[in-house]
Amino acid sequence: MRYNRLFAAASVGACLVASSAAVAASPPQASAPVQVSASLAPTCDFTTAPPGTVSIAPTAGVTNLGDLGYTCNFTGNAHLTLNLVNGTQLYNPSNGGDTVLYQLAWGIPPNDPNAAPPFQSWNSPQSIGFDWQTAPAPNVEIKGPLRINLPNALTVAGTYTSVISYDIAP
Amino acid sequence: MTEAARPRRAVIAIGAGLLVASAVAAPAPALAGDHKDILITTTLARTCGVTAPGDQTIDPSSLAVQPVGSVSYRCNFVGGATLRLWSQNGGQIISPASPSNGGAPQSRIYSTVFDGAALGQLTNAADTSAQTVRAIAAANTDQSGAASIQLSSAAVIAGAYLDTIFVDITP
Repeated sequence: MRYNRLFAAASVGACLVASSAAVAASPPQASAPVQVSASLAPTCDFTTAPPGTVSIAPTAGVTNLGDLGYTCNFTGNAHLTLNLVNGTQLYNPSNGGDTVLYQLAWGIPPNDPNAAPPFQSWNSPQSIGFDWQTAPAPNVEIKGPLRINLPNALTVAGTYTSVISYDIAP
Repeated sequence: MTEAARPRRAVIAIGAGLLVASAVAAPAPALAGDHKDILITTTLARTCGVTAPGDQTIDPSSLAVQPVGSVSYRCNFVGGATLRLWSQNGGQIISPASPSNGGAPQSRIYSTVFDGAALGQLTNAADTSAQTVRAIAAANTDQSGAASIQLSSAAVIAGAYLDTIFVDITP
């Protein structure tokens, strides 16, 4: 099919003459368009992330978990979802399920990466969606430090854990 | 979704010597995202502390059970902790040699009971100390146990009899 159409396009002069005399027989047309369509889906990926497991000191203070960054192949807003199974609480199953509240902040625009961003905390399961700015240009990473703050030192012995989950989508 | 985030569809119609752009709908591409989990972990070690009573005075001529104060302890966990007791003189009160005892040091062995647990005669070293396991019912909460001693024989020669009991607790 494609060969035939291209061949017809290469024979413009002859076909034009023929077409004026024999329209009813559907002669080859002077131009035969070939439509080529393509689409590139918008994507966002985490291109920098803290280690999968981060051990912190059981003392009060701020810990930088590492940079969390993402790259989208477009500009605008990416949809970020923060999932916290236990809220921002460190959970100690060995001692009857003690929990210790911590605070979370991501130093990324619109938060000021150079200043201490506002910490937030939740004491119940959360799934929170944000519209987060992409970088000013497509395929440019935007990243910043992911920090947690323990307002108070732990007092009850044990191993505490918490999982922070992020999803990003265009 | 922003304007930029919408699927872009570039459709080009190629004709005979003709380049025509037209808007032809293409199938919508699937949006692609990503997911990250970060596990935060922290561990606070088990610790215990103990407070001994101050100096205690007993009657060296009595064979009765005599209290020597209360030991308080607290741990930062729920479970069990081991309390150890030993003494400087290995479970004896000793009166050093002096003119009042004719230059002959005097000693009397005693046995120790802590919170109902009979520990016998104490040794003079932590390594060989008497031990009793304490149930820790609540974290970071003071608990206490009474200590008492009982002389195996009464002192009969005048003098100042001394011993020092050490106590520690480990998770």
